[in-house]
Amino acid sequence: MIIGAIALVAIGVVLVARRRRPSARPGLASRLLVTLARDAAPEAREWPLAMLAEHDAIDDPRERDRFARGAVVAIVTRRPWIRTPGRVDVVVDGACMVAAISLATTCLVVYPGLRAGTTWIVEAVLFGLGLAAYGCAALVASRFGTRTDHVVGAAAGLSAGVLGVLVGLLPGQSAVRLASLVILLPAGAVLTDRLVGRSRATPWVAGCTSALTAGLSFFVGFVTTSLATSGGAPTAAALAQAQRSGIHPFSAWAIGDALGGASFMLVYALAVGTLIGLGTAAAARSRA
Amino acid sequence: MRRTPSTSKVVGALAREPAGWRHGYWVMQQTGLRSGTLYPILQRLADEGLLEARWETPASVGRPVRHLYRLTTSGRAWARAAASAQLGTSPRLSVAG
Repeated sequence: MIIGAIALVAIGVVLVARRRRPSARPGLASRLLVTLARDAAPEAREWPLAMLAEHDAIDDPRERDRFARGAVVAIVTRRPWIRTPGRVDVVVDGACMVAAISLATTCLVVYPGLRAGTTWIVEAVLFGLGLAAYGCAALVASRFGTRTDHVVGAAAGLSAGVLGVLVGLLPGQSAVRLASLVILLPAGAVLTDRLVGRSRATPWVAGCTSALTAGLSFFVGFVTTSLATSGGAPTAAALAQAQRSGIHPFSAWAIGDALGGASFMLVYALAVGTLIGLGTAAAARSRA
Repeated sequence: MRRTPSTSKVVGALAREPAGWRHGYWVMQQTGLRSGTLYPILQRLADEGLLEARWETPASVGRPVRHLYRLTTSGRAWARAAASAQLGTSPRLSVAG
């Protein structure tokens, strides 16, 4: 507790010092503004560049950072959404989201055992919120890069659906090992995008959009297969877990487990996949 | 174009000297609006044909070339209509007028 208090005081002192003596180095918002202006879709680049030029002309670092924060918000929330280079992603992710909601609903209807207690309501709400966040992220990402970046990203992300189907068919540890490959897809998308898009490529866009689509399409592939096979053949370990959970029959437990695993992958594939994609894009940029 | 208080502020500031070209930061200082509010308004005004924008000509090395804005003829008419509407809805001004 004492260490925690000391750490909090230290953080406070650093923050106050930073406020009093603004750094000459650009802040996070300023760096983000530079990236957004540079990588905005070519047909929508003029306004972000205008904001960046205005930002660069401001002398006071604090004022410049404040300007950058507003400009970043203005860029990512600008309408209209449909005339963006990433509409292919918006359509693919939208279709995957509709499929994911339909599949989750089907699971709850076909297996009433999953609706025991009140926990499932909280989980369903979290699932809905998560998908809404996914939708917002897809819309924001659709504003950057070129059409090629998004086609490559969507294609790489959709291949996670095939992995999802295979994972649904495999038992135990083999399935887990195969599922973990999903996070490598954004790296593949980044490298492919550099090859295909050449100098016009914006690899971080391909990496981020593939991570978004990968989580969703994996969910759809995995849950569809699990539903079709009624949770697959039971292993001894799975049977023991099902008995401990109290959910009957075994298929209901297996479907619930598949839903949980697929939902976890929605978060995992997005978070880790995006980091790997961005890391690969940064590495590729520094080598160029 | 919807007449919001923020839009009226922006148009009002630009209408004070309608022939002059202005930077975005100047408009921010005149209106007190932040960049996150100002730029979407400027973009909407430009989309509606009420505002024209151009890049300034480079004046000196090292200084960034900025966007300049001024109201179009329709923009000035819009500004006049907005000002008249404000006069009509302001009790003190309407009595005085």
